[in-house]
Amino acid sequence: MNIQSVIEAIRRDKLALLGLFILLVFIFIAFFGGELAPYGPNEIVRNAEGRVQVLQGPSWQFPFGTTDLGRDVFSQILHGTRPVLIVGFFAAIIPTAIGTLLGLIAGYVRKWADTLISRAVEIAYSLPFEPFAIILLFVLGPSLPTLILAISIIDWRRPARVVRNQVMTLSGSSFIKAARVAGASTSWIVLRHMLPLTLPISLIYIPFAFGNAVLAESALSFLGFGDPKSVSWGTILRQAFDGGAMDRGWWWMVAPGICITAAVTSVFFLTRPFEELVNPRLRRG
Amino acid sequence: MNWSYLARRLLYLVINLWVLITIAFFLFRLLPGNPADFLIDPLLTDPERRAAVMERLGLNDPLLMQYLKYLAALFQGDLGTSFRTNLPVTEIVGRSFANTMVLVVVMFVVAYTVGITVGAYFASRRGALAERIGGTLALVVRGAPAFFIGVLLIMLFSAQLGWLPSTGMRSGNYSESNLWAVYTSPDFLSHLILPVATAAITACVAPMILMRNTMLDVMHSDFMDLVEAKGVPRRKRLYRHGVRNALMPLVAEGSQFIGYAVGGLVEIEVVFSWPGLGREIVTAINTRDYLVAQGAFIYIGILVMVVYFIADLLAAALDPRLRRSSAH
Repeated sequence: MNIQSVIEAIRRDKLALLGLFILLVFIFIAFFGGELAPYGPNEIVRNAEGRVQVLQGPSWQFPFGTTDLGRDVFSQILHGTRPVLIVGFFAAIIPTAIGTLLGLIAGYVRKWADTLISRAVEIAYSLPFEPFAIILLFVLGPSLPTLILAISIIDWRRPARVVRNQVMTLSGSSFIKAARVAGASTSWIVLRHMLPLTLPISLIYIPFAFGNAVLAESALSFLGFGDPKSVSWGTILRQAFDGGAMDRGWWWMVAPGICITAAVTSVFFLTRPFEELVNPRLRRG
Repeated sequence: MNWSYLARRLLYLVINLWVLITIAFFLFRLLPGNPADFLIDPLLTDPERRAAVMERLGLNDPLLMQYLKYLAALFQGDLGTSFRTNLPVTEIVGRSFANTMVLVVVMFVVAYTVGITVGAYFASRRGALAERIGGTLALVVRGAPAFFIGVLLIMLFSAQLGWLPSTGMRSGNYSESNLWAVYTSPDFLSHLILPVATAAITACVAPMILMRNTMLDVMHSDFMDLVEAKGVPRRKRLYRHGVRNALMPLVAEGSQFIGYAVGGLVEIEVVFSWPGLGREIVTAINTRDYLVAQGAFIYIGILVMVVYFIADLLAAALDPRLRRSSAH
């Protein structure tokens, strides 16, 4: 799988192109959303007569309506994109890197290292995510770094397990045996032979990890354990839930909910063609 | 069943449980400041009485001693006393545990039934319009947060149509004489529909995709060509040979799916005010009732670990290859 076949695969798949487009839009908003937003995230908007614009439905002035305190939901969403993408990015890269490294060690060194790491993987699988993350965030204090930490502590398990199994399979293959007979050192074999063949597996996990991380950040913010210094999409949903939006202001909930769904779905769409590259049996027809 | 395999899994289960309760102990000790601040009722301000409670709870002991005492108490089924309600933590958490179990079991049955059926259907319709739309829709559902799906269902079926209740487990004026009647009453079941639907919609996508992929693998395998050559009709090929063989990985992965679903149950319980373990943790944390939070965390962890254990044994019983290797 090289760069050209990746580009080609995305170009041929309309959904993957759509996913790429949505993702680029959100990345753009993450960088410039704050400047583009017509109002501040917590600004109370008044009309010309000085009346607070409470629970206004979608209009040209307020594309996604206003909240029960007269805040502009559209502006909140623009401001809220950055924290979501920051957590999504780092909480995808960090656990994937850690998991890949530990998977390589477990699969190649085996013996005690494998026992230890495999046990840890199993324990990470059986720790219920949200209860664990809530307690950890409460104890350490909720912030963007602690959110990333809480997600990373759990989410390294899958790449670790997949990479370990892949390395185990590879170690049995004849070219690795040949390299060993030829006198190659452990680090040479791992870095030059194993890593290039396991890296695609790790890389394909990153988008899924990003999706997981965005969902996790939203859920934790919704539960009231998000970064208190920023308004993320999950925080908006929390305020809407508490503010009775389900009965009197659907727009206030639907807009941020759709943003989360769109951001996560976009990476799923984007990676769909690779599912077929990796597993040709899934090809249509 | 192979006894050495069973013994090894049991040993692992015990180790995992020990790690879980150790994490639960030290997690709360990570809090900055005096441990007394979170183990003693914050409303108790009189210094002399605080000192007395510190002594009684053994908070002046070294950390290791406290940890051993905690383990000893746990073995006797003692998780401490709630500050807020003065009830034993086991009593509070035990009640929420039953409520969470009901949700988990019903959700899992619904999610797996729907997931397997639809996944097999998609595999048999590979490339058709229904499969392409359905497959795309499945990705969108998988990308939607569970709490958002719950909110949408509430807005539609409770706020707009008024068909179903959206909060709690029973109506305020409702009471039943025994436990069985409580969990089978029409009132309870109507409260169960929306939370279960929310959880199942989220949880059915992973088994659905796995089922579709393994079905495609199975349908293209050599033995299927043989079955076809024998003249077995398509429908029978699909269900007697295809579905049966494709179910294996679903059993093997079942534990992970449940673990994942239980890990995400907190948001669903909060949205529907379902009095389960997840909501208990959030409430306990927000009211600084730490021992209840710790107890609920332990219970929910034990639930996941026991489910893993059973699912592993089940998978091994069905597929002898899993018993021999330590790889999974």
